[in-house]
Amino acid sequence: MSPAARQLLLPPLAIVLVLVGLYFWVDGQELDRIAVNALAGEDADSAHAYSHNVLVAIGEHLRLVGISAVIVLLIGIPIGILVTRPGARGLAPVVSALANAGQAAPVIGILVLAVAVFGLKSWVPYLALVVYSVLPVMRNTVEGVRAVDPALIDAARGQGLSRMQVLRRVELPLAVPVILAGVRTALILLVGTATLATFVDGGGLGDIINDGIKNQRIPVMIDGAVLAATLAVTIDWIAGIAERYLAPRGLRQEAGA
Amino acid sequence: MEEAIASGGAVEIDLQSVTKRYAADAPPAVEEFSLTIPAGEIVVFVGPSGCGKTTTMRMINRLVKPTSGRIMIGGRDAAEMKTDVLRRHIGYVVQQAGLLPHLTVRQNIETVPRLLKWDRKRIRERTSELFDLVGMEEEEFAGRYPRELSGGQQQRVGVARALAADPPILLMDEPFGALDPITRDRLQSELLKIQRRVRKTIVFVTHDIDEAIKLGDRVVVLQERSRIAQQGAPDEILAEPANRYVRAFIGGGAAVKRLHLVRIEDLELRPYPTFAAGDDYDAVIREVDELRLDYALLLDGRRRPLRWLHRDELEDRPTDPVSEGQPVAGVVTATTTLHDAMDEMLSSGTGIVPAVDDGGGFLGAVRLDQVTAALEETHVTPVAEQADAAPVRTVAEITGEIDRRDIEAEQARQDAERDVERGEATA
Repeated sequence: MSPAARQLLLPPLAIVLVLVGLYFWVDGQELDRIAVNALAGEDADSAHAYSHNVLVAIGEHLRLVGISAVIVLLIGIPIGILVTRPGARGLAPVVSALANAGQAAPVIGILVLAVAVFGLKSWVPYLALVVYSVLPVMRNTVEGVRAVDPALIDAARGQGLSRMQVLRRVELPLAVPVILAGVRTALILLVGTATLATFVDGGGLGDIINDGIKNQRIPVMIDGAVLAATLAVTIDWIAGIAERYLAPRGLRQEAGA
Repeated sequence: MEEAIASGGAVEIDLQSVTKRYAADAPPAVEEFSLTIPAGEIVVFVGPSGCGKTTTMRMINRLVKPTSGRIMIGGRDAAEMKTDVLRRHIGYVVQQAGLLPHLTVRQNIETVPRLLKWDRKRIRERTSELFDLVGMEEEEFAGRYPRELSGGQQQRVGVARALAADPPILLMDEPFGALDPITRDRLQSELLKIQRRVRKTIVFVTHDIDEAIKLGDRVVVLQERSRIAQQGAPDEILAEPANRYVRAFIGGGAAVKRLHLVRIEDLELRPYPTFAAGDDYDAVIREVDELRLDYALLLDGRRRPLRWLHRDELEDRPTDPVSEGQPVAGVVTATTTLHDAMDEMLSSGTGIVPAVDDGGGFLGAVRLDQVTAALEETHVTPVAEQADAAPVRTVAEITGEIDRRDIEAEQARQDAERDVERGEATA
């Protein structure tokens, strides 16, 4: 198997094995009323690894990650581009200081502060997630655009492309691989930190994990934790494939020299 | 959108006391530069690195904005045209081609026609023409990416891209500087061939005097601040360097360099006794004696030169002359330069070389004395005799000094330029 094929096929295989294993492991555990409540809800008689509450939590988790990711892209990429424009270079240190602070501060701290300031609003978890994960996207946009060979930009300008056309047709396409790497990092950060949304009533797999911890029901806790980890690996795998196939063809290795 | 300059035919470029100053307190990068570049000619700016030659050229397409002075293109002030529109009508070729790596060769070439909103059919036809013009197979290369091409191929595409919209002007910034000598030589010759077909006004920048001599209809030797040390036809500059700077820049062997300028077609070929196997030896020997020569040339059935036979060997009247005498080492054609012809003569040791047509048929002989005569014709005072009374430093000393100073200046200038561009973008 070629390294490329291995990268493509092994993660989903591992993911399926883990999911099946998790099912049978939870199935083999003795689940009392509290555990069933946590996993399947109060009306249910029995529960398994993928009972109703778990599926709802996965859905909420994906929504947290998805919406935050879109906001991160909408904020991170334009700001990253802006910072590389000749007129706005003075902004670069300010913006990167802010983004660095955002990532350095613990998410749980941001969450609590946000709640203290804004109250228990439904958008508060998104705010915290975005603040925490915008840095890699922004930083990689800046780096990707800056890494474009100035001679190429000069040649493009010399042909009569306007600054905007140079950005759209030269700088951004060439920065795509680096930007995508940043997006991938941001997605993984998001999947992990979204488990903390439960503390501000944001839902997600954090609910399951937290239930398990509070009630000392190990199977519940493990179920939530393993699913969160598996979700991170899955999203990383999808992002990896996207990174491979969204990069401009002339830049890809397999274009073959 | 206004039409900046008509496509197609060449136009004149007139630079009128153009000055570029990057900082108010620094010496100007280009000072009061005035030059008329005639339509349809190749004008080469040549000078050491950092002399401002590139900056001067980049002011024509306004990649550098002049601090003062005017640049008239086809009789119109370049400053009054929309910059991006102007640039779409000026082909631009840079060192290492500058092709966009994420676009195919076809997409690279079609960039400007697309910007100009040509219709699809016209773009396709033009692209096919261009592949043909630069000697590349369209089917083979159109879909490839730049990194799949050699340096020489990339630069061919660079030239095709610059010519895509049939601009009247071509600016070339050391386009062949990064290529190996063989590829460079070939592309230089092809540029001349292309120019014969397209007749553009070409401004070519190089630091290589040999390249300047080979390509330029006119050569402009520049010194620091882009001041013109001398301008003129290449042989004028080689024959009569205006001052010590130019002399030093030309370097040694100016006389030999002039041999690059004369081609076999410029010479009168001398008749030479020839014969084929089976011919009458008496006639050949008589001819050799009449011309006071020592050798006769044996040709094959298609009049291609085979062997040199000495008069004594002819006297023996060999039945199989192909096994006598010495083989012909090399031949020259109409477009061979005298420099290469002399090389053939010296390496064959005969001091004479047969000239042949495209089919290899014998046309006449070129002798060493013709080469020296050609040198004397264009000739004025030998460079050595012009030496000033002042103690002459070595060429390396002089040029070395120019280089070091100017490289530093260029560095500072480029930094300043980058800052200025940033500043301009803010505005």
